[in-house]
Amino acid sequence: MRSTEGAGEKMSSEYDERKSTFDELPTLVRRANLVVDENELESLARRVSILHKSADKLSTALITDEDEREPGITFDPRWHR
Amino acid sequence: MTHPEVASVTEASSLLSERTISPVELVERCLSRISSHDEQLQAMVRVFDEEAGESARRAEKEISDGSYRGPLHGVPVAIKDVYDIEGYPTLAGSEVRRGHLANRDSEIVLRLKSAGAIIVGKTVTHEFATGMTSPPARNPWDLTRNPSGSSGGSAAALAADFCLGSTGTDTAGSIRAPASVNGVVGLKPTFGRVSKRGVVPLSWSLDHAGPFAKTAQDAALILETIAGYDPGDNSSLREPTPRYSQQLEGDLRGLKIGVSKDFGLGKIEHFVDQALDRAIRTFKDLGAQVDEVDAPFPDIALAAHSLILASEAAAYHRETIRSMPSRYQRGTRLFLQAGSLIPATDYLMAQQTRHSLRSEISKVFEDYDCLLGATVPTVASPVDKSKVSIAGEWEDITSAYTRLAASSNFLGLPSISVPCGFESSLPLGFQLVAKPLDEATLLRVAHNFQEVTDYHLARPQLG
Repeated sequence: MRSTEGAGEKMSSEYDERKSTFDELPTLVRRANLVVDENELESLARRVSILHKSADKLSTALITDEDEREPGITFDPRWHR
Repeated sequence: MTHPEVASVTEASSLLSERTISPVELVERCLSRISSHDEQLQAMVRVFDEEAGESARRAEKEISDGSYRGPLHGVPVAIKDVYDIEGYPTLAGSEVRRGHLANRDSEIVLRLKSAGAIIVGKTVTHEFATGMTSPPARNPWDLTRNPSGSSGGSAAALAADFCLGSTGTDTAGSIRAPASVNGVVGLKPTFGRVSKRGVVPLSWSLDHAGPFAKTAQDAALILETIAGYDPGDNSSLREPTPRYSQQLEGDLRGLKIGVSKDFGLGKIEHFVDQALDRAIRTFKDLGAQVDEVDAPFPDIALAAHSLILASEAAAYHRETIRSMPSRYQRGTRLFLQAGSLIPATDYLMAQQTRHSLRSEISKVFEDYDCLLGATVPTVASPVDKSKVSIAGEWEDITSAYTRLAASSNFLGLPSISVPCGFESSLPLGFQLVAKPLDEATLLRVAHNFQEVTDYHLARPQLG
């Protein structure tokens, strides 16, 4: 059986994060000129929150690496040859 | 029919070239299979009965006249409905594309037609290739299950013998995952190896076009037909195309395979683990050196992949997601709207991550010729479920079908899925990944495996 230690705290933090995303969403949606059904706002908030988490992961990893190189926008798969 | 068992491009081309069988017979057989079974399978969005018949008669005459074009001449194929075919709509599974009409062939379709292949129809895709279940298509091994996606229609159509080869696109596993759960071979080439001109994009720096086939040998024949530089695709590589089908026979002695069953990216089912163990034993018997390696792909690759995918998709759909949001299916709409809200800085950070991970993965290929792991962590999932249980934990289907495959898209690495077993009569597949432009090694390793195993010969029984 998996340990549930800390699960409540984690759920609460995830709830806070989603709520924060949900609260700011109407402003973001309006600025982006999107038309979002009111019934779909919560689902959209969940998806945006997941993307925020992905960005946070990268931010942490890149800071750790102190990587100041140019962004690799031009993708050339011949790099290995 | 004279040869009811013809099931591969290799078998068909041999019989066609010596005029033992006619393209008309082959095409009629495929159209008959579609007519009998597609009501259940729902893998096709359009069937070219008349056009395919006409092309088959023309191919028959050309072959009789001594103008045999090569191994795809007279061979029936199916095309995912994100590829343009001149004179027909490319609907990409979406109401948004209603009224579209392609005014020229996509590059791959052009090359297939030039090689004499006969297009029997267009196959179902998940809307704009954004998802991994391909409704309404079903899995031919169990009609209560999905064929995965987004190229689910192409994989299901091939497994059901509606064609002898088909095409897909792969942005996060959309060729390899359907290949795995439908029991066929699926090849995602190196980024830029195969042109995407005339293919509806999902995410231009992650998208790859490639073939489905019954065998690695067939995949080699199709790849060498469709690969090669195309000035019409600005990501196309100016690289010569090897004759892959001539490089399959070397044995595996001296070849080094690095094994990471889950690529360090989450759990896999015990039966997938066991199938991989059997495959490892086979490769060792074939003379390969097989070593366990540390997780080659860090999970930040998946985080960066998801940001790039959603940003680029939102950019491509930036006008229609605002002008006609209700024409999108709910899941696609939410995906694109969420992508529209990603800050540019996050997208750039994701590209920066890609830049740094490229050099890390290159070190792995200094020691190993290819990597081996699972394609997907389980079997095909039921059509009415959005989550699957994997090793006791519930997971979203999209995540389950993509997490072991998407790193190859992120890094542009060639990768192939090959049938390697069954669980409760449902197919399983393994995935091989190689360094850029080394499709030849993937095909040779897969071909050697298929020479001594028979998983790829099993066929689903349709009512």
